[in-house]
Amino acid sequence: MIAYSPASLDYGALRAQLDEAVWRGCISAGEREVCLKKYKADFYTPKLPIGIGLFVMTLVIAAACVALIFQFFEFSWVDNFYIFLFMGIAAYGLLEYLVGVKKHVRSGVDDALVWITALLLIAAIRYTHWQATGQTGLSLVLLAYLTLRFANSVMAAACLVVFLYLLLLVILPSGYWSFGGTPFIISGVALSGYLLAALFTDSPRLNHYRNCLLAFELASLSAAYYLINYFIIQEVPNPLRYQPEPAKAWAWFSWILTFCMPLAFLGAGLKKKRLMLIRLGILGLAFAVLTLRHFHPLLPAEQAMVLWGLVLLGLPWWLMKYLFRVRHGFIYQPKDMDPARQAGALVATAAFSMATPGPEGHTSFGGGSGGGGGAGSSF
Amino acid sequence: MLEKSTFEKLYGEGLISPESMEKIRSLPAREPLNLYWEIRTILYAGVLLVTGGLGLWIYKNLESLGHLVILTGVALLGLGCFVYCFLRRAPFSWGKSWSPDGLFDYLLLLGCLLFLIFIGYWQYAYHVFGDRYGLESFIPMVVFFFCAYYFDSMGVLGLAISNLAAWVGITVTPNRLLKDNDFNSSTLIVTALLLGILLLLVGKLTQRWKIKSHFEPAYTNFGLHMTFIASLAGLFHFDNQYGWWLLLLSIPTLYFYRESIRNRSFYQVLVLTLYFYCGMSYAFLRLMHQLGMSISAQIYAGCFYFIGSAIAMVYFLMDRNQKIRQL
Repeated sequence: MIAYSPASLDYGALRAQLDEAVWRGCISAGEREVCLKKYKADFYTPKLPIGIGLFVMTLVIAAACVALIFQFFEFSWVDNFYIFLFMGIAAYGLLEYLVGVKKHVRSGVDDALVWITALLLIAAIRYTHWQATGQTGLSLVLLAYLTLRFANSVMAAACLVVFLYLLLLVILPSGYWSFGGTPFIISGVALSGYLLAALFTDSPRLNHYRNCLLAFELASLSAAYYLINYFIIQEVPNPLRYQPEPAKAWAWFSWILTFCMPLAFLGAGLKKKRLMLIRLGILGLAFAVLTLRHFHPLLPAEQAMVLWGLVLLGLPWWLMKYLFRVRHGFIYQPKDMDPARQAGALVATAAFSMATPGPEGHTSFGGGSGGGGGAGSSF
Repeated sequence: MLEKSTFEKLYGEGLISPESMEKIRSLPAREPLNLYWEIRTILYAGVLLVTGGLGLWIYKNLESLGHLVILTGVALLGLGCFVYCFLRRAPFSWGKSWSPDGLFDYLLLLGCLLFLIFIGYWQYAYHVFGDRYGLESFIPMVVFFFCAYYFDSMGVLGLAISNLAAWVGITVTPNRLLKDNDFNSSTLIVTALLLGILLLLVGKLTQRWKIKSHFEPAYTNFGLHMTFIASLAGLFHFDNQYGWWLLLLSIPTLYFYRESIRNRSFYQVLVLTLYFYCGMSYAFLRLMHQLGMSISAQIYAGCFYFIGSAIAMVYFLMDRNQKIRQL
């Protein structure tokens, strides 16, 4: 089913293992080269920055082609459905050619073409005269096919989102949330999706789909929390607003889940030692605190910021001391610092940009309006 | 996580030595989970919240609190951070020195930001620098450069470079580089171009003279983006001389092309390709407009240009990838 040759995908996994072994000092760089030579597969995978460039350029080519074809058919009788269908099939054909004949594997070009094929064919589906349920169902089939054929993580995550949307369309034929508990049902389905994917993530037989399963898990958990968060339900424009009374009956449940679900993610992550769950749990908790503050501000903003800031400085300080050696299967161990410190420099500059407010029409040396602490003549 | 079965197979085929296999076998069956990134991210969030909250608190309480109380409070907090860093610092070296503990970098950053708040508020409250507002950027810049080199902090170096740029009148924070700067000003464009070149030069000298040579990527990175964005801004701004500015844009492009080959940097190849492509495409579209072609002809020509040029760029990137790998 998978378009890529298994040998090329296995080679990628082997290279990752060998890189890690060299980094840990377990094997020498020479041994790594010998192993890679022995298992060398015939395929094309550039380095990540080049892959990003190829991805961007492929999107530029596709956009220009679409514009050209629409310009060509501007005054013709040809329906948009046929134009999108033709372009989608052409993109898919090119994708199969590049993967099958030119042996592109995660080169950026093939990834972009998977996206382009999906977008063009879904656009074609949207121009059919079918009902929304049929269109969404067919889009789901297309995305599932692209996921299985090209083991594409983004397509896997898109499958989950489209499936939840389809569910919504099936539950509520009117198009409105006729029942206040609907978000909780869909959230439950998303959680079930996570549990199902988690069963297969570590399966050796599905090794080539591991990233897809991880993306599916991430999308499931994110969607599950997004759907039940009290802020999202109350403040983000959604059809639930048209049914205020039944929704209010579920408010207490939403509040409980807003806090309990991230805690459950965090607990499960700590228990199973899974970073994705831990990270989602931390992010979810931050979002839950912001939700609480939005509706019930217990302290003025500046006091809350300083208080939480001190908590967030104290907690890692304690954790660093506590995890200095292995405790309950966790450790705090500095990693290879070079990329981290470079990234840190950019993050620090971006995050603390209050340090350098822009000039106000002044570029002479020493003549700006103050680059310090947000203060200047106009402070 | 290393899969031992994979390495047993490689060992069985005689591809790795018995000593290497022994090292792999000695690794624990289930390795501890490293929470390094998670803890560092929380620390960054903590520093951000404390400095942001303090700034807001001062702003809101200007009337009720005395200036002296606020200044003393901020100064004491900042001083506490610097004292901690001074006591815990590693011995100074012109080479790379490691942080003594995980908290060190963040308290240094917090101290620097509090210093910035202090200087800004001092000027606001007591007008200590008179009308020489540039000193507000200049003094923190000097202090930050000193701290960056003395305590060996890449994060503080980023702040120092930002303050250097602020002193000459430019915002260089990554998220505000394009948003906050008025690149319609020819003075600003030339200033940004000169600053970019200066940063590149400092990066080179840092490496050549081995003065904290691991800071070179930070200087080069800021310099690279500053030079390209200023050249592009010149191309867009000086409408009648866009040909010359395209030529000017090709100078950093050629320079970084040589550098990317020399450093085997795929990242620089990507960046120079994207910036030059933007400039080249603008110049092409501008030329078509100047030739007085009809709208329809411009659309067709533009589509063919983008298809052709992007295909050429794809081949160029693939070729460079191959060439750098073979070096």
